[in-house]
Amino acid sequence: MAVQKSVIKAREALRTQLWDDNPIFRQVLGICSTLAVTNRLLNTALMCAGLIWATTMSSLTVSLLRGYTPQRVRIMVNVLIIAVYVIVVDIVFRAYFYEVHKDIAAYVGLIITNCIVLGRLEAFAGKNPPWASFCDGLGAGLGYSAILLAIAAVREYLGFGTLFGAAIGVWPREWIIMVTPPGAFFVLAIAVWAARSHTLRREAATAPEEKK
Amino acid sequence: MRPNLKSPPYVIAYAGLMAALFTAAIMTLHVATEPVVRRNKELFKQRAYVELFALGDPKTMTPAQVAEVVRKRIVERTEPLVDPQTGEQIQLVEAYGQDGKLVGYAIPIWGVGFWARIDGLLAVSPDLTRTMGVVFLSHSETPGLGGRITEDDFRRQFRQGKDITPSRAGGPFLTISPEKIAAGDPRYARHVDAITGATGTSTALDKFLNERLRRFRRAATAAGMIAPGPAPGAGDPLDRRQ
Repeated sequence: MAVQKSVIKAREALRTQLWDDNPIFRQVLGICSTLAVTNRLLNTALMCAGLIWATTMSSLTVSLLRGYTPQRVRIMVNVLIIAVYVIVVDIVFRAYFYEVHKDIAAYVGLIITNCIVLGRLEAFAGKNPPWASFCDGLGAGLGYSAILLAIAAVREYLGFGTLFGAAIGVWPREWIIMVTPPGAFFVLAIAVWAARSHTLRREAATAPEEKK
Repeated sequence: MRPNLKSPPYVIAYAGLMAALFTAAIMTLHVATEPVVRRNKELFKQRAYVELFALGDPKTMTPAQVAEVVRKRIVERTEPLVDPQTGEQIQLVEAYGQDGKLVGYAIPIWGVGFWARIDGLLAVSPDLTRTMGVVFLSHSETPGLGGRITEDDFRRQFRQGKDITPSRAGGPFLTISPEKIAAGDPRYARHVDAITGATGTSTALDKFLNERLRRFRRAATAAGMIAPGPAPGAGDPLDRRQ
C-alpha cells in the first residue's frame, strides 16, 4: 500500500512538473538561462542535460538527508549539494568533452544559481521521500528542457538558418534580433502565451463537466 | 535514534561534516581527472598550431599525428622579443614547412573581452606583413554571440592575409567593425567583419589586437626583424581623414 502510494506520488510529481506547474511557463523560473543560452540548440541541449542532472541528483540527496538536516542550515547544505553536482558536470565536461566545455563553461557554473533547482529542493525534496523527489527533480529538469529546446530551435533557425549547426536552406536570411537576448524575450513570451492559453481553454472545457 | 536537530553542537557538526564530505568528493574527482584534462589542454594547443599554419587537418588527424607534426615543425624561439617601450616579453613560436623553410610566426594575443580575458595566437607571415590565421585558446564570451570568435566563419578572414604593416597616418593595423566592406574596397585589406550581435566582444578584440600588434611591431624592430622606418604598406586605406 505504502509502495503504491509512493509510486502514485512520484508519477504525479513528474507529470505536474512537466506540464501543470512547468518551471518556465507556469512558475516563470530559470528565465536568465532561457535568455542566455537559447540561441544555439547544441548549447541549450548541453545546458539542459546539466540542469536535469543537477535537479534530479540534488533532489534525491536532499530527500535522503531530510531527516538529519537542521532547518537552520538547510539552505547552506542545499546550495552545497547543488554546487557539488554542478561541479561534477563541469569536471566531466572538461575531461571528456573539452571543446564543448570551452563554449559553455560560463553557463554550467550558473546552474548553481538557477532558481528551479533550489526551488524544488525547498518546495518538495526537503519534505518528501526519495523516489518522489527524484521524479519531481527529473520532471522539473525535463519540463525546463522541453521549453528551452523549443525556444532554441526557433531562435537558431530564424537567427542563423541552422538547426544544431546544420544549415536548413528554407529560411533565406539571418534575423539578427533572434540571436540576441531580446529575441529570446519575444519567443519566450509567445511560448508562455501559447501554453497558458491552451491550459486555460482546457480548464474552461473541463470545468462545466466537473460541476455536473 | 533521531538526532536533536535544534542542538547547536549538532548543527555545527552537521554543517562541518557535509562541507568536508562534499569537498572531499569533488577533490577526489578533480584529482582523478587531472591527467586527462592536462592532456586535453595540451592536445588543444597542438591542434591550434596545426590549424594556424595549415600543417594538416587537425579534425582528421589522431592525437599522435598532431603531436608528431608539432614536434617536428613547431619551434619556440629561444630568446623572447622585448618591447622597448613597455618591457613586455613576447614569446614567438616559429613554424616550418616540410622543406624546412620558415612558414610563419605565432604571436600570443590576449586582452580583456566583453566578460573576461581572451587568449589566443595570431599567425603572421615570415616578413611580418600579413596575417595567416588566428586561434583563440581560452575565453569566457557569451556562447552563440561573442563566443563565435572561435568559429571558422570569423577566423577565416585572418587567413586571407590581412595587412598588418603600420598605417601611415598612425591608424589601426586592423579594424574589426560591423561595416560591410567589399573585397574591391581599399579598406578591405585591413578590415575584419565583426560578429553580429556581439559588439562588446568585437570592440574589445579590435582594441587589444591592435595593441598587441603595436607592441609586437616595436619588439620586432628592436630585435632587428624589421628594418626601422616606413613600412612597405598599401598606403593608409583606413584613414578616414583622407
